[in-house]
Amino acid sequence: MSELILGVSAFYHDSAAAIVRDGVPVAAAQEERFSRVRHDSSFPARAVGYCLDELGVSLPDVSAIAYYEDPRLKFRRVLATLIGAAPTGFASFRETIPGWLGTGGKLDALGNVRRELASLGRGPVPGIVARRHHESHAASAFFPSPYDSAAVLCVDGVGEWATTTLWHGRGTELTSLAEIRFPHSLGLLYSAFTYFCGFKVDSGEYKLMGLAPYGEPRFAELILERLIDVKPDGSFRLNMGYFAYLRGQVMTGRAFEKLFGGPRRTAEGPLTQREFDLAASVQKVTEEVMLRLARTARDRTGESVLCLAGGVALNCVANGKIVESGIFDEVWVQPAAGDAGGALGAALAVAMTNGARREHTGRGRDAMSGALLGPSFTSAQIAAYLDGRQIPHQRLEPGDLPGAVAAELASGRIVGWFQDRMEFGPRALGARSILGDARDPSMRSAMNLKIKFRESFRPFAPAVLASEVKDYFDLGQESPYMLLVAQVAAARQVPVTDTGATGIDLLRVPRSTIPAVTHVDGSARVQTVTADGNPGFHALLTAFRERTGCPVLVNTSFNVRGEPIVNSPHDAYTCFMRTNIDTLVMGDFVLHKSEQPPWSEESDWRSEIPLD
Amino acid sequence: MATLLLGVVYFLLATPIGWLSRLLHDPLSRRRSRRTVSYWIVPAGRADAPGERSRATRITS
Ligand SMILES: [Fe+2]
Repeated sequence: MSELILGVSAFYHDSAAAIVRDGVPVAAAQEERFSRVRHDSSFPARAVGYCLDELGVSLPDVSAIAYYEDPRLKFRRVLATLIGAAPTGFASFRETIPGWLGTGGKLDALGNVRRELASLGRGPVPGIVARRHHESHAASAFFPSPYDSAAVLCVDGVGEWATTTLWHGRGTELTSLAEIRFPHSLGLLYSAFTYFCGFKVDSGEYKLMGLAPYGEPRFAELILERLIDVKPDGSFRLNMGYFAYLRGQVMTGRAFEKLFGGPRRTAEGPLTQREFDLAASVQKVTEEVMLRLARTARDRTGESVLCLAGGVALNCVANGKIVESGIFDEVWVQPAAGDAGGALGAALAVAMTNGARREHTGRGRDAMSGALLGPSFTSAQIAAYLDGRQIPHQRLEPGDLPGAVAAELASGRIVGWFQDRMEFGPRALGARSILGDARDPSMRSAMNLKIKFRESFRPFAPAVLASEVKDYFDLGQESPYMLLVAQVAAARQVPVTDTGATGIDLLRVPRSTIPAVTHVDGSARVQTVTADGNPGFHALLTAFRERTGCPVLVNTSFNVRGEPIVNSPHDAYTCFMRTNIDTLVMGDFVLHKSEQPPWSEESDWRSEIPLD
Repeated sequence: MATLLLGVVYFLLATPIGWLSRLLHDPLSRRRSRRTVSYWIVPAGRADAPGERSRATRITS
């Protein structure tokens, strides 16, 4: 008799649900994909409903509900912070406390989860247990990893108290070795710079990382001198005199402005050399701290492999530096490294306590099913949608599909690729992706302007056949979840001519034979694709390689910028029609834009999507 | 009304507690020291907050 554990993360950022069967993740999704509200933090009712439906079960079939953090401990931290800042933080106190207390308050998160689950009408709610925030991260990093034993490092903004934790994972056990606590947080340091550079905290961090290659790290020394005291073993404390998050609802204050030459950039203000250099500087410091933490993880555990999770583990440039350093033989990053992955981690932690086994390690593979843990749609369902709306389409034989789509891509068309189960985690990995030819020098600009509707200072990410990754990138291991950055191989680089370009115009200068995916420093955010992890996407890349000689495609998320990644055929068709995607492939069905009826909507959809 | 109540709690309760705790120790471990070798905290059982049932590895050179 198999045991099911349902994990839930909610009420802060990016809520999600996951189901684990006998210790194996079998369904997981973020609420935003169903509600269509980006980073939706409300109770993940639809994600829970999906997980139960995927397995054809109801709540009484589930042994336990695992919540991803301890609300009481978190409240004590919030209270201690507010008291610690008194009398200078009354505004923060007034805004924060009412949200925690009373019925429906965050302090009663477990009660809220119980009530929300009960209102789903899926039967009696089983017992709910809370796991600590970092235990959830650590469990999500280690238990599904391909390793029997490993060092485990979790780095994020903050959960309850811990902001950085070091663990030793062995078999079905995780031992906590050491931690660093709030207010000292590498994630919050990065968020402070994100905020100061005019991006949104909790979602703009990846933009800051993308901005870093344009700058010089001229503030790195200053950051190390004034803002953060880092010890040789990677442990650190922040100088709270420069940060405002203890007493207010903002990240930085006057002292920070004074240190970095004036007020913060406003949200849509121009990006100047200062922002480039600030991004480069905090990125360099983050990499240095992560490298020291990795070395300590190696020393303290004696392990040769590392598992990573927590929001900072989405910093794929820093992850790439750890791989490059050779401190560990291999690094595995949980694809849902942020708080959505906490739902999965909490469920895994409970499953292991209840006696689940980790049989996947014997096969040398991870247990994430390529992160394809979300909803899928059968050919019959897609056909019903298309026929119901009289949408023109062709249906191909499955064997003909990769060749036909590869031909479209090789002729410069942009393809919406909707296949299989939706990805769990922030990246599109070839199930809900928009694809293009990475060799085409105009592809980056075309995809930005025709689909995302905004110019970007970041290149797109490449998906590459895992068997050929070394021909294209300096990467000595697999990167199935697009969470490692590596340099484009020297053989694929081209001499850079001095065009006089500066700032973000530098991205227009070709630096490699795959310019659409090459950043200004010659790096790329690589996804390696295997037939095991994603057979359909692997077949497409193989067909594209056979046709063109190139095993690389541009892989960007199937959405308009600012909107969640598409989930259903309807979401995909809507995005296809709103944008200038040339061809939409859903299962075996191929839709050409030129054959579609005109698209009209009652309201201006672009005004309804918030800026990201 | 709610603001008034919160104000009373904040200024008459939270503020003196905060002031006293800062006077007696370093409740949020804000102090940094060049002589400290490591800021790692070794979790002892289920330690709840800084200083509670846990010890920082404050090894001084
Ligand atoms: Fe977290």
